[in-house]
Amino acid sequence: MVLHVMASGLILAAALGLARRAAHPYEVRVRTLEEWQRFLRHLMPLIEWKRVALAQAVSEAGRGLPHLERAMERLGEELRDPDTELHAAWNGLLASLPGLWGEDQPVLSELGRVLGTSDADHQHNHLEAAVRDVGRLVEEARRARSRDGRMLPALVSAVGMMVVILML
Amino acid sequence: MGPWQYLPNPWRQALMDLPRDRSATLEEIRFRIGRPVYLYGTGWTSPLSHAEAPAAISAAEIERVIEVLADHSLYARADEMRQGYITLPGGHRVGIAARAVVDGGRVVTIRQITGLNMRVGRAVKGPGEQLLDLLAARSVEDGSWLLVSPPRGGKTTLLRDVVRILSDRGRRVVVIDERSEVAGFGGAGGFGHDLGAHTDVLDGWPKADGIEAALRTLGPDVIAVDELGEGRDLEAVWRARYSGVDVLATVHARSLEEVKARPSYRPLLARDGFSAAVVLAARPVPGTIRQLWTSWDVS
Repeated sequence: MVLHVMASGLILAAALGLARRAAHPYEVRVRTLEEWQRFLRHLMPLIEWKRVALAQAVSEAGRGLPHLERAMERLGEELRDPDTELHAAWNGLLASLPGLWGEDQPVLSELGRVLGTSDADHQHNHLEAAVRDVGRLVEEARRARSRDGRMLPALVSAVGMMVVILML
Repeated sequence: MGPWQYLPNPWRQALMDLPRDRSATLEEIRFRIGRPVYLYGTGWTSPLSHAEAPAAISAAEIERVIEVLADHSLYARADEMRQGYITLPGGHRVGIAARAVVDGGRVVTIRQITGLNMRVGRAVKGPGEQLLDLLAARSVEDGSWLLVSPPRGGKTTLLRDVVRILSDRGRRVVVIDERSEVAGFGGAGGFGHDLGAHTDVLDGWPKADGIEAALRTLGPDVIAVDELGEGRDLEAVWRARYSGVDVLATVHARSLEEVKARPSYRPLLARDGFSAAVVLAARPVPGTIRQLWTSWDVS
């Protein structure tokens, strides 16, 4: 009996762990995209009003954002090298961020293609479009989190409970 | 630091590999679509030849070069680009040949860049002393002076040196540096050239607005301004003169007669707006004094 209880406890813990693991990508995607939203809102005045050079602007806009801060600092440093190709460096940054999904990459990659290549009015339009698109992605990510991101963990937990009941 | 430091490779390396005598006398680097990159030095011209560099430059490569020179931040350089140039830290100017987009008679932006002219800015110490000695010999030790020369005649270099000397002699000088060429503004890194101990720089200010701001707030003895235009610029110069401030200015022209032929400049010379005018020539070396006129000559 003691063995059964211990095994049940282990199975329950494993099921809960698996459930959390299943929910993790959904949660991280939402958080990462929300940070991108904040990053873009910080970036807009730096480009449109202060006209800060891009290397400095991305570093400043990324400050205080746990997922983006280090990546943006690194991008800022890379941009100070005259041999850096902006779009390639930007895409490298996107590939190195763990929270983004396949459908998020093209939207952000497109922003990297046009960032810094035109006057402040055009940059405003590009940034506004990016804020809109990222806003849409955030909504999608939240919906996916509440739909699949909660159902999957519940399913895994239920299976765990069933196994425990059968065992006992 | 030479302006080539701001270029991407292979151009940066090709220019860094130039023989020392060439890089020391290099004045301009010209990029033109479909042509070799050309170097123009004091008394020599040569295509840039390097194993890594292509024989001719493409439109895409010119776009890449300008993006890198503008730190991937064309939005921060749009005002300069509308006027056909950008300035690099150290006072090096990059002229841009491109198609203008005009709206309501005003250039709103440029596109289809076809050429770049990178001018090497250098601080040369010494010619200012010579000029001041010459003026002192003509009893014009203080006052307002106009430096006259065609492009590449050495006006800005001489202006920079005279500013440094006057400033180090204790006169409070304000430089209105619309194109960042005189002081060589380098962003947060400060200025690229030594302008003396008593000099303030109004970087990026349009000349007329800068002169007004300097008069109101900085209490100058001398205001220095590069490449005077017409209209508002000259009105601002008069206001400075009426306020008892000396003006040290440069203007594009081949001779004093050409300056006097401009109706707006004639009163400045005739009514003591400027007490001396110095005409410079590009040969045998930029900054050669070809003619010296003082208000004493007409009185």
